[in-house]
Amino acid sequence: MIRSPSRALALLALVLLAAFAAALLIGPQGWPSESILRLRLSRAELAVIVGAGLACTGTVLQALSGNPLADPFVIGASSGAAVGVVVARWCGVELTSRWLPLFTVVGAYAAIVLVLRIARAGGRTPVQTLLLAGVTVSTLGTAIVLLYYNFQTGTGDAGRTMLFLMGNLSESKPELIGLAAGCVALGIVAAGLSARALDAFASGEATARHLGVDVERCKLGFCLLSAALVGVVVAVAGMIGFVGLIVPHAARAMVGHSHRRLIAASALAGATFLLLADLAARTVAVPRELSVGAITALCGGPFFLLLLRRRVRERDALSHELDPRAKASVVPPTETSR
Amino acid sequence: MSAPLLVFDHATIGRAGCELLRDVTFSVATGELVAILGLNGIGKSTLLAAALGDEAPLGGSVTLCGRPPASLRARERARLVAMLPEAEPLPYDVPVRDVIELGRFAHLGLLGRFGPADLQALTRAIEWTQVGPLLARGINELSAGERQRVLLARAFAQEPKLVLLDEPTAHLDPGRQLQVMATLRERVDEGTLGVLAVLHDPNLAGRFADRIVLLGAGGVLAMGPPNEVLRPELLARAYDVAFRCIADPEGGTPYVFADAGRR
Repeated sequence: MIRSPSRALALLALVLLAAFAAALLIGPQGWPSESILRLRLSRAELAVIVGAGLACTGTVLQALSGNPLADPFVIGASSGAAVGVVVARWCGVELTSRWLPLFTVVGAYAAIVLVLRIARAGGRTPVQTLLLAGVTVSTLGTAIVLLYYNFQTGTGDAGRTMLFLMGNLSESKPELIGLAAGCVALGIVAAGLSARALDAFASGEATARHLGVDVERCKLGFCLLSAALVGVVVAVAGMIGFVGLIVPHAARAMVGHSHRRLIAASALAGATFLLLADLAARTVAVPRELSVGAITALCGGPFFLLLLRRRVRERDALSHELDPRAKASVVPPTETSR
Repeated sequence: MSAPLLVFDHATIGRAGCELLRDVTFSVATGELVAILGLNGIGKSTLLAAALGDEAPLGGSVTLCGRPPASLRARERARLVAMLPEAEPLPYDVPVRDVIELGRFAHLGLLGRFGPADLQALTRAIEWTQVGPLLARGINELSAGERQRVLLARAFAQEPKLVLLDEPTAHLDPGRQLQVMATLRERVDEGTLGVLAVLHDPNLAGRFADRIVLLGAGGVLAMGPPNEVLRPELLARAYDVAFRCIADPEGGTPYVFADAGRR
């Protein structure tokens, strides 16, 4: 359908512009007044920053772990950052403070390193262990957030907690948005500059080392980069799941596997996806506003299951092709093995 | 024959501090194909890991072009030595062309742009391994034999002085096995490359290797040209099963096979 990857990139950029315009102009009240327009503008900016940041992180994590199911939400980075928010509140830091990202970045980094370290086996990061470790760390993080707010009852924080856990773009934080935009832009550029190393990592860590990648330094760098992006995103918008999972796959289908283009395509498509998801969240059930995280999860959940199913089937087929023992196991057990 | 590329000098080889092979002494030079034979789990792959610097020797020394491999920077090392793994599927179904291009990683500058030298290396690697018709396909759609040829092309694109192979022909049918080994042999005979290959088939080693290192429990059992090492009594000790040997009527290396009836 689309012949050249550069044309696909141009198309993605056009679609992003169209989505941005739609996010400004479409809403429950006919033609928007200037104040509403300004409100929508800041919200659309936030969606672009958060969507691009999450999708770029997803692409980096999927290459780093050699695992197409990695995503900042799935592997627990987002909830690590959420614990960072709790710690920040506990230390008396306001939710709009410039110091908040410091806590979220540290939380996200701790979660990423913990999960990748637990899940690694023999130089690879297998699907099962990555998901199990990720789910566990993620649940643990969410539990800490919930517990913290349980002790805060009566202060009207319960509703805000839910908003935070499901992700939310309606709270504008003008103090943080510039910082977040800078971080995300820098992160995307850094990931794009190390595209070749990401290409190498995507064929497995041992292979990357043998091809000449300084594996340990790159891993540290990519983990820091992911943590920085997830950290600032969670600080401004809470936990929005599955953007980092779906978008890289769609981008791969459009521009191929080369990370130089994949990073750019993911950033563009991620921004577009979140703009549209937020547009849906605002307009589908007027006068109610839905949680944007619920929308992305509704799109991402089934997609994730589909990928997982395909992955498991592929693995089955391959292990039967390669491993003679797998073939032998099809044969009914003999007397002796019982 | 020129100066040795890879030298094991009374090296003790082990994994994670656990000793596997003691007093290993041999070398691989440019223009030489050396095969390693031995039982599964005896330490053949660990020997390759030691050559790459992934495992430090527990005693003695291992040197790559005169330096301990672990002291080389990753890029430097990748320009000296390429590693060809088993033909396992890759995590992503990347197009064959991209897989081969990755071989140039250690030669590219900061921006990762390809120059004329890089393109030339790619073209040559593709020609040598005859993977031209596969370039647009996904690596995981290929058969194991095709995949192995692609990975070999990636190793050649790396323009190394030494290629290490870990059971490069496992899972391949006989014709493809010969093809992979013959491609390597051609490059070795050109006098620009040394090869150290872990093989599981003694006859493949006999046919293509200049020298064979036969490993027994704890160390090197025998080393030398194929017709000195592929002797039934040595193989019986290495593989723990009786071997018989048939002379090649055309004067090549004798054919050896395990004799299931006897021990």
